[in-house]
Formats: sequence, C-alpha cells, structure tokens
Amino acid sequence: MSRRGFVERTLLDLAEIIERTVYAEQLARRPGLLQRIDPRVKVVVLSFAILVAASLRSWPTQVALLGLLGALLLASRIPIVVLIQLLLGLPLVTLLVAAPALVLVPGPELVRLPFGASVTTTGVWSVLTLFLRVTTSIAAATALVLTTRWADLLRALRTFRVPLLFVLVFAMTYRYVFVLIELLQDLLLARRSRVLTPMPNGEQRRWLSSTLGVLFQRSLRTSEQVYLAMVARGYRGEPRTLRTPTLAETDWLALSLGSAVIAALWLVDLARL
Amino acid sequence: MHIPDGYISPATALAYYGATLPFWHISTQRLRSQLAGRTVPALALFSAFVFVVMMFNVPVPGGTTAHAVGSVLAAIVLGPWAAVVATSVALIVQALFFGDGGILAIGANCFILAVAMPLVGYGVFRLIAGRSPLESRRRLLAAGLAGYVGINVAALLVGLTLGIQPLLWSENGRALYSPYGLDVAVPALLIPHLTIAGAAEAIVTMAGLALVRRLSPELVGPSLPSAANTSPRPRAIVLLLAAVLVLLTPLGLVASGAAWGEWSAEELEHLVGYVPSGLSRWESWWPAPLPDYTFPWLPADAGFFQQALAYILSAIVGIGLVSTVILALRLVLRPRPPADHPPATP
Repeated sequence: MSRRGFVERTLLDLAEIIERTVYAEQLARRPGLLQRIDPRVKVVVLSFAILVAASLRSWPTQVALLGLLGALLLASRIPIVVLIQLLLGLPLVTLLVAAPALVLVPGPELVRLPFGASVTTTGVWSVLTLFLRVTTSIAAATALVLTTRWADLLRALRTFRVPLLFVLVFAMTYRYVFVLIELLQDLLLARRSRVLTPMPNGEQRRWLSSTLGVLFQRSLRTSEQVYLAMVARGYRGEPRTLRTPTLAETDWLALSLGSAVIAALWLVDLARL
Repeated sequence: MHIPDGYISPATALAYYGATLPFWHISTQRLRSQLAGRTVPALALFSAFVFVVMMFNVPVPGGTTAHAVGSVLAAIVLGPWAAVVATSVALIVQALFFGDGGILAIGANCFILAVAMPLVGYGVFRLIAGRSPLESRRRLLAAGLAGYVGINVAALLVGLTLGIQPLLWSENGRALYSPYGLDVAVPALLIPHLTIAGAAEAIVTMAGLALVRRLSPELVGPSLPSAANTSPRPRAIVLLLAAVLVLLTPLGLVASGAAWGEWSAEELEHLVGYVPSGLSRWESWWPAPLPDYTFPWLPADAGFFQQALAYILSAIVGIGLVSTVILALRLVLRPRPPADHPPATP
C-alpha cells in the first residue's frame, strides 16, 4: 500500500470515474423500461421513492420497496453484475460500520458473547433497518441516475423551476470536470513516466502543490475563454433554451401508477405501527 | 465524509435544506453582481476545479494518503461566496451523477461541506492572517490552519448530525437511522479528521494558496472585492457561525426538537399518523445509549431539556476555548514587519 504513491492512486481514481461515466451513459441508452419513461416523471416518482425509503419503519415494507426497485432495475436491462457491485459498495460498508451497534444498542439479550458483552435484539433490528434503508435509497438513486442521460436529467431539472443559472452551471461543470480530469491525467502520467523510485513525502507534496496551481490557472483561463466564446456566439447574460415536449400517455400512466404504489407502501407502513 | 441517504431522518435532511437555501440565495445574488455576465462559465470552472481537487489523494505525513475537500482553499482564493456555490455544485454533481453522498442528504452535505466549512475556514484565515503582507509566511500558516479547522468543524457537524439520530428517532429501543449516539459518532468522526484528514486539508489549502500566490498574485491581492473588505465582515461571519454551531447542537438542529417533548399523544397521532407503542418506554430509554456520557455538573437522571441545555453549554464552552486559542495564536504571530523577500514557497 505504501508503495503506491498518491500519483498512482489518483490516476486509478480518475480512470475509474471516466470508466463509470462511459458505462453509465451506455446503460442509459439501452432500450429498457425506465429508459423509455420521460425524465421528468422519473425525477418525481423516484425522488418520492427516496423520501419514502427514508421514512419507512417496518422491514416488510422496506423489503417490498427494495424488491420493487430491484425489479424495475432489472426490467431496465441493468446487468445483475452492476446490481451486485452496488450491493457490495455502500450497503456492505454500512453493515461493517454498523456491526458494533449489534452490541452497543442496549436492549434485551439475544446472544451472549464473551467478556460480558451480548448481541441485543434491538441492536440486530437497528442494523437491519439501517441496511435495508441504505440499500433501498441507493436502489432508487441508481434507478434514476443509471437510466437517465445527464442532458435529459438537466432538462428535467429545468422544468421543475430550478433556476436556469444553476442548470447551466451544472451542465458546464459536468463538461469541464472531464476537461480538467484529462489535464490532470496527463500531468500525472507525465510525472510518473519520469520517476523511477517512489518519491519522498515532502517531494510529493511540493509536486502536488504545483499540480494544484496549474489546474487552477487552467480553470481560470478556460473560464475566460469559454465566456468569450459564448459572447462571440451571441450570449448576453441571459441563457435561452428550447421548449420541452409534453408528456406522452405512457408517461402519465407511469407517473400515476408509480406514485400510487409508493404512496400505498408508505400508508401500509404507517398503519402497521 | 459525505452522508449517504438512509443514515439521517427525512426531518434532519429537510431541516438542512432549509438551513442551506438562504446561503445559496445570498451567494448567487452576490456572485451575479460581482461576476456580471461571466457568472456561468466562472462558476462552472470553479466547480469543476473543486470537484477535481476532491479526487486528489494527498500524501500525508506518515506515508498514507487522504482525500481533501478543498472548499477552504476555494474560499480563500475565490472568496467565501464563490466557494459556497462552487462546492455545492461539485457536491450536487457528485450526488446526482456518481452516487457519492445521498440525494436526500444533499442539503446536509452542502450545509456542512459547502457552507459551514468554507465560511468557518475563511473566518479563521482572516482572523489569523489579519493585515499581514500578502507574501508573508503567516498567511500560508493561516491558510493551513483554516483548512484544518474547517474540515474538523465539518467532521464535528457530521458527528453531531449522526449522533442525534438514535436519540430522536428510535422505536422501542430500535434505532431507525444511524444507530450510534453522540458518544460514539462524534469521536469516530473527529479522531481521523483531527489527524489524517485534517493534515490533508491543511496541506491542500496551504499548497494551493502558495502556488496561486506565486502564479496569479492579482487573485489573492487586495483587488479582489471579497478580500478588499475590511475585517468587520469576516468577524460577523465568525460570530454568525458560532451562533449557528451552538444552535446545531442537539436541541436546535431539528426544528421540531424544541417541541419534541411537548407533543401530546393526540398531536403526535395527528403529526405522525400513529402513536409509537412504546413512547413511555422510549422516554425512559433514551439516556441509556450514553452510559458514560454524563456531564459532571448534571445529575444522572437529568431530563431531555437539561441534557440539551448541557450540550449547548458545552458547545459554547468549546467555541470559547477554540476562539481563545486562535486569538492567542494571533497575538503570538502579530508583530512582524513585512519581509523584504517572500519566503521560499514549498
């Protein structure tokens, strides 16, 4: 671990981001169930799902919502491998992080452990609740993010009256993140190809500081160039967009059906307790 | 350090959205007038820059690496309001696009990392840097310390946010959200940040400022409008934030906190839709997850409000201590005539 300097690690992280983005864009173009639905509908229904996922209190409803979202993801041709990878990410980390709570949450004893500690029933329920909640939230967020192209998501945000300033900034940020990532990759690769032995820590930090400076300067210069390019094309400080199309009938159906099912789950959950 | 969805209750998440909105509003208003037509490209590039800074693995003394947030650096170089917007945009793009940090938790993450962290960091920087010459070593030191304080304030806020979850949202002893109380959550977040992550943030902030100062001195010079303002404003920011921090301790963080104990069963049924079966048990249960977390001046059987008051008191004491240390540092570092040569930048 110590052999790998920050150059290698940052390079790996950058490569992963690009790989994930390209793959996500591919998934969003597949002819699946969710991909066919209007992004505005998806934003409404799946945001509602995220809110409900955060509010559910009983495990049967949590499992039902998770199952529903899982089925939607599979119907949208998201490969099982991707779903398993997601499950091995944050939910697994959550299980590990929450494991001590098995013992730390006070309550009736379930299993006695050595050294006077014991696993409590309330502890088990706490960990299970958190695990299901995190997994369900991730599934809902994934259903939105992996099946919608970034440009469509932005257009959907615009129809929800998110100020145009923000939508434009999101769009351009997304574009220039990759410009800067590419620049950073070049810098790191150039450095790496000229270094034979691991650099001492102080040297690494000196180099890091100049990399930061170069990136920052480049961002400033690019922003000025982009501004001039916008002005040259007629930008006067107020952006304009095309009108967005109306919703199709299937979209209305998805909107009402999706919201109804999720609302029903929530009501069942509230009534149970 | 992003809070993912599922760890905090919707009420906490929405309260944080409410707390963040005014800051977004103020900062965009200011930037619009400051940057004029350049607002969009400038903010986009700043956001992209902050996003990429978050990707850096920073070599920390001791041989490991850690990620930095970079919002304090942004606040020092671009001004606090640009830092609020740029960091927020970077966090939102991360959440919406890369699934890092939750979507419901965007408000919380933005308040902590994009509002509290850069504003506190900026306040610390202005306090320590004072009127020292632009090329002085003291400014670099101030930047490093500002990054360190900023990231730790953020870690403390995350710890408090997670720590109050089991106190406020539990049913029959089962935690509905993050299961750890304040006694576990706060140290679990603060210890790594006081050491490794704090060092990474200090390094990034210091190194970034050193380089920007050398390459584009006009940016950190007095011509920048946010830097040109004299000290009252940063001081006001510091005071404001101190007040916010105090209120963010358990009682004030959630708007319903104050009214929590005053709900009658009917009101509760109306509000939540049901009456928790073990409400009375819950009430007697709640101090139990903090067996070792009693305040020396409080009886062990203190009620909710006494405990909450104790939290606020300890927050005030803590902030007082930190400010004293910072003021002392400032006194120690103050008398220094402008150096004839800028110190060698690292």
